[in-house]
Amino acid sequence: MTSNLLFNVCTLGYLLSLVLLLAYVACDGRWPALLATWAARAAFGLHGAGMVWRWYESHQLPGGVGRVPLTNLYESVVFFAWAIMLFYLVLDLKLRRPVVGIFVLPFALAGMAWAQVFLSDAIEPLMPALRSRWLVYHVVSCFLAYAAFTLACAASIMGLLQAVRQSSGEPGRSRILAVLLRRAPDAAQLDQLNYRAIAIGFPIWTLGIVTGSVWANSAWGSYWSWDPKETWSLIVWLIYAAFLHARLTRGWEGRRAAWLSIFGFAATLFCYLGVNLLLSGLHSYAS
Amino acid sequence: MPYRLWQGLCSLKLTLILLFALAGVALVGTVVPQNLAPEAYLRIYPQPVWTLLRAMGVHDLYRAWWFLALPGLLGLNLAACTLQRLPGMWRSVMRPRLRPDPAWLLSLVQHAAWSVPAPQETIDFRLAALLRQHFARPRLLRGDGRNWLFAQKNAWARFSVVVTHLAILLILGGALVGKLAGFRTHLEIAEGATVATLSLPGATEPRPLGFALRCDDFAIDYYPGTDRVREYRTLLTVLEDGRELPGLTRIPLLVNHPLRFRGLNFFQSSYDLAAPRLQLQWRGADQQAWQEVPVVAGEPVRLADGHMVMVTSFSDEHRGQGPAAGIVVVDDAGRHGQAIVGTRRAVSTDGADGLQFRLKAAELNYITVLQVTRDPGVPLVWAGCLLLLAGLAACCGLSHQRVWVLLRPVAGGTEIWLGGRAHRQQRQFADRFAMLRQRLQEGLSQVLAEHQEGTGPHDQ
Repeated sequence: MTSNLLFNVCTLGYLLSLVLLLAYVACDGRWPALLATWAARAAFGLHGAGMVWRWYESHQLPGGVGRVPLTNLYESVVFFAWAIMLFYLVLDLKLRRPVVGIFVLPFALAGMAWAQVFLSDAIEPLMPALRSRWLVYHVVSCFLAYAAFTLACAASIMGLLQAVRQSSGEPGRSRILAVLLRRAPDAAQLDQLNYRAIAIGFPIWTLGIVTGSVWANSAWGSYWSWDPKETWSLIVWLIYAAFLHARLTRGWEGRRAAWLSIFGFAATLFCYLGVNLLLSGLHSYAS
Repeated sequence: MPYRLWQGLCSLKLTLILLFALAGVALVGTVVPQNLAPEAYLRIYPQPVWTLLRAMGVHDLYRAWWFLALPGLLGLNLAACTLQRLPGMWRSVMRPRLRPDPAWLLSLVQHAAWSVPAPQETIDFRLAALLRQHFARPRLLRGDGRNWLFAQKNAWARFSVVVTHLAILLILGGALVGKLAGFRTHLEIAEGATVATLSLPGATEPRPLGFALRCDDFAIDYYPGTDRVREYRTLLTVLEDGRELPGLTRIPLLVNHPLRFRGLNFFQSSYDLAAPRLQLQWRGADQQAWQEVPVVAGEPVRLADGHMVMVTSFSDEHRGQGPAAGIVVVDDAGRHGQAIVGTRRAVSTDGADGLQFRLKAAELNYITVLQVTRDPGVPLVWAGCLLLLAGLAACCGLSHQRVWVLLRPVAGGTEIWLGGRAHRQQRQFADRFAMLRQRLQEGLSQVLAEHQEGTGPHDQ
């Protein structure tokens, strides 16, 4: 399948971008960073083209199988990685700090590699419950929110490292890490980035839950049925709601906020993957 | 004591505790399977653990009173918080400080002060125009020989928190209404059958629908060339007093397209196979002509010659020969015979009398299984969801920004005090404030240059 080839090339593009970013930290010139940015942009373009192509391919299959490429685990991981790159590249335009990519790219790369190597890329027909126009709204909003939370988590990891560096004054154990952190935004900026990403992701996540409820109300007969996936989406919502409220009280900035964001991301990952792979319920697309 | 209780109820600490507690307890319900039979739990947990789980209601967590107390408390908490903060919000929006003194302006995080060599009267309108161009339309006030300008943006964004909290209360209220006044149950209708009552869980008497529903057809649609289901479809007709209601005949009910009628919702949930309907042909040993008799599997039928016949089993595919039915024939003397009857050739029963049978037609008969719900809380929940989305978008995207300018005459010109405050997104506002200050200074220096060129020659 052509879309598959596009995704393979795109995965290599992200890998190349990451390697170039590491080269940028290891040596001095600016050009590896420039190349890394353009490699990531080109790969992102191929990524989008691959999804559109997969959509087209599904419509070429016999038997009216055609549907948006957002319906099984493989396609969702591919879209998740695309959404992460979308947020990252937009952020990069504003921030112009290439080293941020070292913390964000691995998430997209891991997703793409996992999808390409381990997941089934077969285009299967949709079961009746999934045949709804709410599918697109629900899945797109959920995954955009996942991606925003991923960015918040990446900013938090950077922020924690940066905070250690700034408070101890030590350049860090390794020289590479020291150079990397010197070129990264400072701890306050990263804290702000963490907060902004969650402030953007949270309303989108709410939209994802609401569209899911509307859909469930017409497919399953109830807007909320405490299905494990629903419950976990609420848990994620509660954690980030707590994060946003904690900002209003003193002392919940910097490190504590970063840890809370990482904790929220762990819950997000569990909501996305853990529920499907470890628990059973109505959202059984992983099978 | 009541005051301290109120303070506690209003506290943000309580909010955080409740959010985390709700998350933690909700998590338990995803780990402990919900609403299984007791035997199923005993296969998973040892007896004492199961006794404890049942005593605490963990097996039906989301209906346990102590679980429901958490969202209830959270609702109280955010209602209290919002009520407590509302007057302050109202004051800051409706009655902003209009005539601040320099000391107050200096206390703001964003402030600046500089002097220009021109009298107040020549620059105040110009400053107002600049503020309007680069920030928002200002109010101009005079008094005490001083001038003040006050401009604000997104004042109503202060209330986005109120809207968000109100939305959550609406959703919780809607859920409560649904819990108290709603129900959900299943309804099975065989093809061709009509039902007019619902059996509710926990109720002994069936509840009349107020109308009747007939299932005209149930069909399973497959993706061509596969055994994957594409759609389940029930055709329903609504009847009142035995008459079909116009516009409500043969309504297709699909998985994502429920029927909503008189406050009840009918969803395609599942299906079952009813006893198949068969068309049997038979003749006596001495007869030439075949006679037909309709049979429902499992129900004995008397033939014209007095024999009883009953279909005991049916398969739509028997040894590559197409559909076949197992039948039993009994005569008046109680002698009975049996046979497997197909469509291809006639068979005689192995009993007596040499009766011959043939299968003319067979039809699988479905029972459609519908989920039926009534939930008067749903409109409240949807209203809450819409408000929540609007409120959150405003909360996370907008901040109430205010800018004050104080003009004070000093020797040789005017002292300008600039102050700004945002109720959130401080960093963005800091950038904006710096930009605004620069614009004002540039704009004023332009005016001053014009002013000096225009007045210069006359002064000399």
